Amino acid sequence: MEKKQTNKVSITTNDGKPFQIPVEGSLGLLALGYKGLVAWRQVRRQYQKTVVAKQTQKKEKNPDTKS
Amino acid sequence: MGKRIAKKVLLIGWDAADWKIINPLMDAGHMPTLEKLVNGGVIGNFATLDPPLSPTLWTSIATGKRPYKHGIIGFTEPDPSGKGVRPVYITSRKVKAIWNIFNQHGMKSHVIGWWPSHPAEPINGTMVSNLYQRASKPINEPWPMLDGTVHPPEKAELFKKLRIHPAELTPAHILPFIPDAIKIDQEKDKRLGMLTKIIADCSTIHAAATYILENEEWDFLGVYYDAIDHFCHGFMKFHPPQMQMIPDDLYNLYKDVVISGYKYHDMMLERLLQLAGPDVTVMLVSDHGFHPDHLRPIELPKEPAAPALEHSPYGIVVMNGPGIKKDERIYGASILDVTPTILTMFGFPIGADMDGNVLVNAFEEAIVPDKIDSWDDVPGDTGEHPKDRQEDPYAAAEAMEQLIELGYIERPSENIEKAIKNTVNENNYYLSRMYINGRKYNEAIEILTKLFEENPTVTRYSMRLAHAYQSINKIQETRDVLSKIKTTSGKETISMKIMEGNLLLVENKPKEAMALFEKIEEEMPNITRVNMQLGKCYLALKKWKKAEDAFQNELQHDPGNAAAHHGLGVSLLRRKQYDAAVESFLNAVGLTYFFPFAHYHLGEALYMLGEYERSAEAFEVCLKMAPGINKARQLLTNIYNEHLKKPEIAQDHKAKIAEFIKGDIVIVSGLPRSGTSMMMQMLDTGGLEVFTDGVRKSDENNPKGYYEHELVKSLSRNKTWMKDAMGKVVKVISQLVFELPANYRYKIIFMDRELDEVIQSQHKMLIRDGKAKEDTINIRVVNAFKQNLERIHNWVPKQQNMEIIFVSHRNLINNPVEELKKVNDFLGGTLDTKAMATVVDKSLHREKAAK
Repeated sequence: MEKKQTNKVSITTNDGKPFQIPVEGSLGLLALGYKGLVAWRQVRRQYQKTVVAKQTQKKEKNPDTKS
Repeated sequence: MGKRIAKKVLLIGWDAADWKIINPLMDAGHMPTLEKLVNGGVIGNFATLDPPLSPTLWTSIATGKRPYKHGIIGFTEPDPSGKGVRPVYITSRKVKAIWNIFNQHGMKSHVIGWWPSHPAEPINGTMVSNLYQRASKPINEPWPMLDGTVHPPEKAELFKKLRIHPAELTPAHILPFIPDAIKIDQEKDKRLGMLTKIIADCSTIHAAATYILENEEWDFLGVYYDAIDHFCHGFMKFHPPQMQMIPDDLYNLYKDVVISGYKYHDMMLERLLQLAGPDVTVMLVSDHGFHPDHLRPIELPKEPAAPALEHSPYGIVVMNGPGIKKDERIYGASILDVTPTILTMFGFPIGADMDGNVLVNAFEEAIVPDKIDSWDDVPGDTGEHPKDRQEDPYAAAEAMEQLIELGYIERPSENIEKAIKNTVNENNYYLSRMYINGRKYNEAIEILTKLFEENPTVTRYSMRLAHAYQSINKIQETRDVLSKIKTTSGKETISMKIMEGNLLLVENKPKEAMALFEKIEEEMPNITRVNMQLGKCYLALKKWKKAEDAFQNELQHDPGNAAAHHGLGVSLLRRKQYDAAVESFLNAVGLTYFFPFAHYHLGEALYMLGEYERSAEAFEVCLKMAPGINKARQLLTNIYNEHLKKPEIAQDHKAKIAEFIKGDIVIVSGLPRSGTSMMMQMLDTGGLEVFTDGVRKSDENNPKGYYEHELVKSLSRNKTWMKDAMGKVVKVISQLVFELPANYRYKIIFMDRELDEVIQSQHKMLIRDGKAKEDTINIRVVNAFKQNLERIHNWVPKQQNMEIIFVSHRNLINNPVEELKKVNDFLGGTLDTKAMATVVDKSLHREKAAK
C-alpha cells in the first residue's frame, strides 16, 4: 500500500529533537532525500513569504520608498 | 525454484566508483556508512567490459549479458524517425532485464535512473527513466518532463516536483566541494555550473529513490547514480597529487571535488540503508573504475567516447545482508555477474544464455544455481514495452535510407545525415570491440573490415582490425592492414611498431621482437611503455632475470596489471623462487580471477613447494575456466594418485583427458645419432606422412636425410604448429619430449641405442664438422644424456596421452623385419614393413661396424 505524502514535513535529530532547517539548505538535507528536500523547500518558501511580507509592510509604511 | 536467500534486494549503482579512492577515505573515517557495509559483507573488484561505455555496461549489469546480445551498444542511436540522433532508448534492448523476470513472477520492482531506461517500462512498480533529472533551461523558464519519464504516468506529477534545479543550490551545497568558490570567474570558468548540475542531478535521483523506499512496498529496487563518474570526468585532473600540467590556482580551487563527491555519496547511502531496513540484501556496484593516480591520461584523443580512456578496468562490488558472508573478499567478479547473483538470491534459476556467473563465494551456504535455457523464452507479463514499441534503431535507419532512395521520403539535411552516419559508424566500432572483448573475433573482423573500407583514414578502426587479426594469429592479414595504414597515413606510429613486435613474438621470433622493443624503449623512454612486451620476449628466450626486471618495471608503473604479476610469477617460478612466485600469481588472480594460466602456474609453484592440497585447488580452478588444459589435468591426476591418495578423483581426471585430445601424432624420438632419421625414413617408406620442411639437407653425416622440421626446435616456446602435425610423424629429440603439449595423443617410437655408440657417433660427427677434436668426449654431456634417458623411462609411461615403444637400434640393423613388426603392431598394423626393411643400409653404420 502506498502511503500518502503528508503536507508538512519535519526533520528530527537522532535524539528526537526538531532540527532547525537552515533557509540556505545543506548537503545533509539533500542526502536525506525527498523528505529533506521537501522540508527545505517549505522553510525556503516560508522565508520568501516572510521577506515579501516584510517588504510589503515596509512599502505600506513608506509608499514613496523604491523597492 | 531454489531456496530464497534474500527477502528484498537493493541494487545501488555508483558509476565509476573505484577502491583506489574509497579505501583511503574509509581508512580516514570519511565514508563511515560504506565502511560499515563493507565490514559486514563481502567486497571485491568488479571487472568491466570493453569498451567501458556506461549505458552498455549498466544494461549488462541488468541483464547478465554482453552488449552484442542485449543490443545497447552506444550513448546515442539513430532516431527511428530518421530525424537525427537521440540518446539511447530502453526500447533498443533486445532481452529481458532482471526486473522483467521479476515482473513475470508478480514481484514488485522499482527502477530509478537506470541507463538507459527511457521510456519507462510498464512494470509492476515505479520506473523513473534516465531522462528524468536533467534541467536544460534556466530556472525561471518552464521545466517540462518528457512523456514516458515516469511509470505509472499518474505519478509523473509527484516525481516532477522532486526534481532539483541547479539554480536552487546555494553556497551551503557548493562550498563543501569548492571552499573558495567565490574566487571563480564564472564568465571564463564554467566548472562551477557543471558542478551544480551534477549535485542537482544526483540529488534528484536520490529524492525519487528515497520517496519510493519510504512510501511503497518492494521486492527489488535498482537505483543508479551517475555523479561519481561526472565528478571524476570533470575534476579528477585536479585531484591530488597535482598533475604537472595543472596550474596551482586551479589545483587549489578544485582539488577537493572528487573526494567531496564520494563523501556525499556516503551520506546518501546512509539514508538509503536507513529507509531500506535491516533485512535487506544490498548490492553496491560500479560499472568500471576511474584512474585517480599516475595512470590519469595527460591528454585525450579527439575522438568520440575518448573520456572512456580515463576509466580503469575494475569497479567495485559490495554485498551485505542475510546469507552473505561477513568481512570477506570475493575474487573474479564481473559486472555480468549481478543479474545471475540476484536471481539466485531470490531462488530463481539463471539463464544458460547469460554471460555472467553467480558469485557463489559471497554466500554463507554452498549454492548450486539452477539453470534454464533462457529467460527470454519464458512467456508471461514481463512489464516490457509492447513488441510494436520495441525498436531496432539501426534497422530503422537502414529502412529509412531505403525509403529515401526510393523517393518516398525526403532526404534529411546534410548535417543530420552526417550525424546519423557518424553514430552508426561509432556504434559499429564499439560493437566490434564488444565482440573482441567476448572473443568473437570473426564477427569483429567483419564489422571492422567494412568500417576500414569506408573510412580508410580513421586509424582507430584500422588499428582495431589489425588487433583483431593479431588476436587469432592471422599474421599476414595483420601485416596487410598495417601496411595499408602506413600507405594511407604516410607514417608508422609507435602503436604500429609495437604491433609489429607482437607479430614477431607470435611468429616465434623473440630475438627480433626484443630488438625492436628495446629500440622503441630507447627512442621514446618517456612516451611508450614496452615493459610487458619486453618481459614476454625475455620469457620466450628464457632470460628469467631480465623478464623479472621488465615485469617489475611495469608493476612499479601499474600495480594493478594482472598480466604483469603473472609474468613476474613465471620468471620467479623458473628461477625456483617458489614462495615469491606464489605471491605473484595470487596477486594476478586477485586482480583478474578469470586467468586460467595464472591458476595453472600457481598450481605448479605450490606443487614445487609440496603444498599438494592447495596445488590441486589451483589446478581445479584452472580447469574450471579452461577444461582443455590437459597438462593441468595430468598434474592433478598425479597429485591425487601419489600425494593426496584419492585415486577415484584421479581416475575422473584421467578419463577427461581423452575428451580434450585434439588428435594423434606419431613421434620418433631418441638421443641425436640414435637412428631417429633412419626410423623416419622407414615410416615414410612404410606409408606414413612425415612432418618435415626439408630445410636441413642430407650430408655426409646423414646421407639419406634428417627428416626434421625447423619448428620442432622451438617446441619449448611455440606449440601452435602442432595442429599441422596431426596424423603425421614428427621427429623430436628426446630432450624435447617433455615439451609436447598435453592436448594431443602421442605414439612415441623411441630409438634405443647403446649410449657409448651414440656418444661415439655424435663425437665423430662433430669431428667431421670440425667442431671437436679426437679424444675430447665431454663426460658431463654423457651424464646429461643418461639422466635424460632415465627421465624418459620414468616420465613417459605416467602420461595419460602417451604410449611409448623402445626400438633397439642394434636389432633394427641386424634383424629389421622382426623389429619393424613390433613397430607396425604398435602403430596399428597398416605399414609396409617389407619396404621399410629395405631402408637399412649397414654400410652407413660406421661407428657400430668399427666397434
